[in-house]
Amino acid sequence: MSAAELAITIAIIAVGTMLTRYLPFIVFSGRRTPEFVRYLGRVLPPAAIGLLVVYCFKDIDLATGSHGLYEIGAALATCAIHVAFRKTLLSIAAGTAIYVALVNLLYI
Amino acid sequence: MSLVVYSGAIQFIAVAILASPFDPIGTFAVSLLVGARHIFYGISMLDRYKATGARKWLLMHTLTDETFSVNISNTPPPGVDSTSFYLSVSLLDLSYWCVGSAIGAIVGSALSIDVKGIDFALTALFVVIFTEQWLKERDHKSSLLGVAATALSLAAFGKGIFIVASMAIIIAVLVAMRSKFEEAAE
Repeated sequence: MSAAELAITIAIIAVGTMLTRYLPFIVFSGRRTPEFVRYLGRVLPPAAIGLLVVYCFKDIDLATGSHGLYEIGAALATCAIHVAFRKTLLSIAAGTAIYVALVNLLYI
Repeated sequence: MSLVVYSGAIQFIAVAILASPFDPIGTFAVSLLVGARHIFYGISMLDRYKATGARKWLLMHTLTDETFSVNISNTPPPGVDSTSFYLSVSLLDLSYWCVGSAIGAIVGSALSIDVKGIDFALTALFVVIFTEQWLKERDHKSSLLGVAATALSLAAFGKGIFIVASMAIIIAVLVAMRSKFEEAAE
């Protein structure tokens, strides 16, 4: 790619990505949001967070390596720590530390 | 790129795109596909971002995975203007991202320290938000739907298009079982 093509490609990626962020607000910018969309706005957030959690595990290969056991183990540990203490930063730091320890110390 | 695109998922893919032959249409399609999940965030934030005036443009521009998950799971403390609260979260996230990218670009070419597994922090963030939401909500239908639909799509369609497929399934189930979800929400 030439310098111009590189710049155009980055611009296209920016426009495409921003379109997905702006779209709902532009489409529903009218005075009244349709009742159906407001219903989605109420029930969608928990499902969207669930989607994000699974999205983070998309690169796990169940067939090889550790079979995803480190990731699943560290996620369950994070979950347990959070239920016990309910301190967001503590849970994230401890969960990440456990995962880093698992992949660096156990992996041969 | 971190300032104008501001999305980790597509920026990683952009490395490969920029190294391949020029393909404007394919690039645009991939950007839309990878960014499709933002549409969910936008619909979820419609009400919260409603009365934000001109600052709405900044809020829309900075609605990332992380910003969405923090802003949807926190309510501004009493006495704090909600628009300022959401915008502060958004702009702090943006500044971390850009400062981090700049440090990475400068330091990355000079030396390579790589703590393997440190990127699990992002997974841990979402796991914590999911757990917190689970502990607070009276009904787990929507949470379970999000996990189940996405896991099924990943297994059935693979890494390429599973997000769009799971979004379609989630919407379809929410539409088909509206009365059940409606009574659960109230």
